[in-house]
Amino acid sequence: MPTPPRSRSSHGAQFVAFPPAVAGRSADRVDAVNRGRPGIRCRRRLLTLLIVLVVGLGTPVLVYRTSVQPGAALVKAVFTYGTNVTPPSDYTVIANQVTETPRLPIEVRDAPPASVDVYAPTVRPREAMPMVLWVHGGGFISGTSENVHDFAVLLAQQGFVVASLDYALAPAAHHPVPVRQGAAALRDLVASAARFGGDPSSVFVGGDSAGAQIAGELAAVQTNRALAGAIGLGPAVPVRGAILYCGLYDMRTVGGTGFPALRTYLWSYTGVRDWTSFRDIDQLSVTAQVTPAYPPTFLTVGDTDPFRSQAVGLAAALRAQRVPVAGQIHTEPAGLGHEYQFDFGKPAAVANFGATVAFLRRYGGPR
Amino acid sequence: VIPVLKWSAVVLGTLVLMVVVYAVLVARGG
Repeated sequence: MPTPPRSRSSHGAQFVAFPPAVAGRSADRVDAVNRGRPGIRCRRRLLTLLIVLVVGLGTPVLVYRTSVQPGAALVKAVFTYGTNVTPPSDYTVIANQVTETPRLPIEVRDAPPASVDVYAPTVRPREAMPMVLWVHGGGFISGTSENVHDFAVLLAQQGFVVASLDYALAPAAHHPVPVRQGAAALRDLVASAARFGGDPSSVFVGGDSAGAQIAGELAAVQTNRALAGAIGLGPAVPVRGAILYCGLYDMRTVGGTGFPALRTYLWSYTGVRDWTSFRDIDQLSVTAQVTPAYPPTFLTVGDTDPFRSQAVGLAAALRAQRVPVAGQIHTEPAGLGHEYQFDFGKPAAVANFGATVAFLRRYGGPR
Repeated sequence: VIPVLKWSAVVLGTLVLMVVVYAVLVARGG
């Protein structure tokens, strides 16, 4: 900046003679000049950064602690556990042998709409077929019956009536709504067995991931009067067996599995932020609800699945009650993760499917 | 134009930071 010309007053004192435009500047303009000074500019930048950090870090923490809705929506959008079946190469040929009856409504009082898609072989065998109610996964908050469509088709083609349940999702619906809808679906399935060529006395329940928890609890409800009473369910439908893929079965230990976003799933499903303090949390623990009457169970989980320990715990609880346990809890390092069962590109998934069919034939035949 | 771009970047950056922090919290929330 050029130095203003120095003048001398009549008293000999020096003063700085600013040009009129500079000498008459307002306080605002002084401010404007100061803003440009390096020290103040630096302080303002630091303050802005601080505000951005406080807002950027504080808001998510606050939202995370107060509401499950955004977390559930985010997880639903990002994670797709239990949503994809990679079918075998001859799937198209197999699918042509199966007839699908979609969207049969399941009525449960005071609950959101639910439905089942029913799959049965187009050419019916002479004998009535065992029936399977399948409950899809998705952490209680996502997924539809459509996610297991190809699996249901493959299973039906083996000579079974498969009903895939579309239940009410959390956080809109909480426990035990899906269990009640599953029980209603079982009753409807038995009632309409003749329509699909099914054997009403040979009914199985099955599910994957969160669906395995629901199916496991559903089997417990049919065989444990105290639990059925507590959930408010009527007469039980006899269940021949349970097929549980990679589920969570013990609410006392599941927190330690490190399963991603587990807190969001269980907060959504129980409606309680600290889900371990949910009043009915024991009802969700299949391990705590098994009785000697619990049906024979097919259990499988991959070696790298965080829920592996859950299957180990349930197998022990079932054996303690002398309930037959089939299936494979993988221990060998095979890189089989969550929902490996639906990737038919993996030999282990093909083997598991074969074992599932064998289990259904073993326990589903005429008595 | 440049200050507008600068502040848009700050707002967008904050939003991205918020989503990232939230996603990390949710994913780690075992």
